[in-house]
Amino acid sequence: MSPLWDSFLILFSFNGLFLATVGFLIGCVGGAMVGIGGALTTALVIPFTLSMGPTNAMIVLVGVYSGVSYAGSIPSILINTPGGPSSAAVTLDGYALARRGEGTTAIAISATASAIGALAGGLCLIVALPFLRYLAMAFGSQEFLMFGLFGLASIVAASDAGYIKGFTAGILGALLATTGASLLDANPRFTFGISDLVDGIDLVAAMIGLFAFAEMVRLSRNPNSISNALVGLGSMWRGIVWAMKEWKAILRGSGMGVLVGFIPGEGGTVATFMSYITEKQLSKEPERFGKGHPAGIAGPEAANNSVIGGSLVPTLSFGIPGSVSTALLLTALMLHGVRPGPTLFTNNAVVLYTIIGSILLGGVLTMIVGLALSRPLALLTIIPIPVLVPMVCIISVVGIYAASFNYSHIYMALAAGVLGYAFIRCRYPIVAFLLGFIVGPLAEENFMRTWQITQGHLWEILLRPICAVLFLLTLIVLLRPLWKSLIASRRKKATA
Amino acid sequence: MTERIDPTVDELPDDELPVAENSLTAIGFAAVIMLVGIVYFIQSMSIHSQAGLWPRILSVTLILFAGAQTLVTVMSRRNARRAQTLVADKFELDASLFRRAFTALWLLAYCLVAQMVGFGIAMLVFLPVYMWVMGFRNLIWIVLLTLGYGFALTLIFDAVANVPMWSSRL
Repeated sequence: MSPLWDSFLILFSFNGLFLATVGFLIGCVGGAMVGIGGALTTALVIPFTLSMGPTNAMIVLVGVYSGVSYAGSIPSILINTPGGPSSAAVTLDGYALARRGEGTTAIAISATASAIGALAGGLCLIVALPFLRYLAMAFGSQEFLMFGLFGLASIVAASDAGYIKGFTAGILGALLATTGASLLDANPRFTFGISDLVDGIDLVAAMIGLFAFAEMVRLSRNPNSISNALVGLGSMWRGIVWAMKEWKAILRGSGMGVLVGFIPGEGGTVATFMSYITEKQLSKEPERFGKGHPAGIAGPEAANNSVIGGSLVPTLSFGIPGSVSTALLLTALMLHGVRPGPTLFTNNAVVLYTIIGSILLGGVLTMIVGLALSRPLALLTIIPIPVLVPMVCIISVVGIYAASFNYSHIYMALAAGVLGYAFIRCRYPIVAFLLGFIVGPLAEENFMRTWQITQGHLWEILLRPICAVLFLLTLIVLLRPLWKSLIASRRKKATA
Repeated sequence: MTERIDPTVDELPDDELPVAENSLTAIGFAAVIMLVGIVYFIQSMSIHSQAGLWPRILSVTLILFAGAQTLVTVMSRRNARRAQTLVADKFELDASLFRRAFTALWLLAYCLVAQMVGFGIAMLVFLPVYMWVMGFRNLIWIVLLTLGYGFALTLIFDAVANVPMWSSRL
């Protein structure tokens, strides 16, 4: 049987549909809880998926991803509080509509646009698939090394924190990932006499520490619940009709989401704001934006959900995540022994097709389950923080232990939590650190191979066409913001 | 170009704003990262095989970047002091700090105690204590939530993932 048919059977079996629905519901819960978000939800679910096979694990995790992407907008619409940064644009018109007594209508617009956006993203991933086969043959160690550098440069350039902090965080992640047995000769490195470090710093522990523990300490300063009010009724069907009337906005938003998703480091936040600004500029009634215009919800929501498919293209084809959530999906793939990259198409085609199928299924679930559960989900945002924080901390601790049955990993997570909190306070990008931590070992492996192939003459890799192009792209990505700021300062001087 | 908004950082209350770029905390953190780079570099020098090459490159790069960051923050602080615009580093023992410190210490204590008595028993003590101290004073709900959460965790982790929730043998 072909891998496509195999993955179809897995996905549309009772087990597959059940897992996808469970994952989607968990994602909805995490996405609707302000301050929890997609990264933390995915991080918490990963330990549970370790006992599953890679295909089942991916069905659950892509379901979580889809659920989070959709549900982040629910508190945005109902209580003017975005579930995550990428849902911030929806607050502008979603909350305005909810205040007019059309809360359910706004959620229905969001669900419809999200579903179409997710489907568009999944279809784009399918279109990009033939290129993966080509890349599988064209990419060698040298190309992987260059693409790793390009990915890191993209994340650093996209970071608000600035170059120095971005690079510092990324390199620190890559350096800490060298702790433990060497890939080359299996001799322990940088263990400082601690036997638990021989196996390296656990990825799950690092991830939960960086995201969950750091965030819980930060959130605990608030003594109240995240939110105290629920607003809005309206009609679900009216929302669907209004969304369909804004089909142009949905298509434009989907296109932007896919394109932004292709670029490593650019997440849904950029896509949603780009879409909102575009819709407002193209609209015949721009004065209605911010007062409850359906296009102000439909466009950004489509963009936010089509990012899923788009961002999985660099994640799956090169192992370079496009966002925090895809970085965690990448982590999960690696924990399941599936190596992302062009070889995924040849070695793990069933997993690949299952991921794509899960995205499309996620779009359908957004429409069915998302609409049905939109209102009850918003109730989660009224859980008092003194109840929420200890529960998340305890489940995180037990989750880390469940992932490895090694108690020392819990202490690693605590240390990672301290680092994560320091990163938040001093404004260092955690995503760059995590990317460095994930890409570091792969980059080291390819660096050592390239070193041996070129016998130490690393510059020779620039003679390879793909490497040269990637090198140029890396330079462009790094120099573009510098160039822009230079032009801006010259203009400022000229006008002064 | 419009300034990008980062709600996870920019919309926090005043006490949770990121520390100033020229604060002692920022300087200290950058210096600590540089120190990590130095320690790793010294350690990597004792690896005589090729396995030391990659960490050596990374540690040197980290020293350069973290060193540059330290320098930038120190210079910024000096310039601010000269221009008399330096905002004094504040460290106030307010309620917000207490809550964050308590959460961090509570988490550490839970991990230490759970290792000795097991996740479940530690949870039965630590969960209600946290809720009570942090201001959730509804006793009935505290008992119900603790028991319900314990049951749910047992169901998920003990029954499904084979984690010994109620055993001290971890």
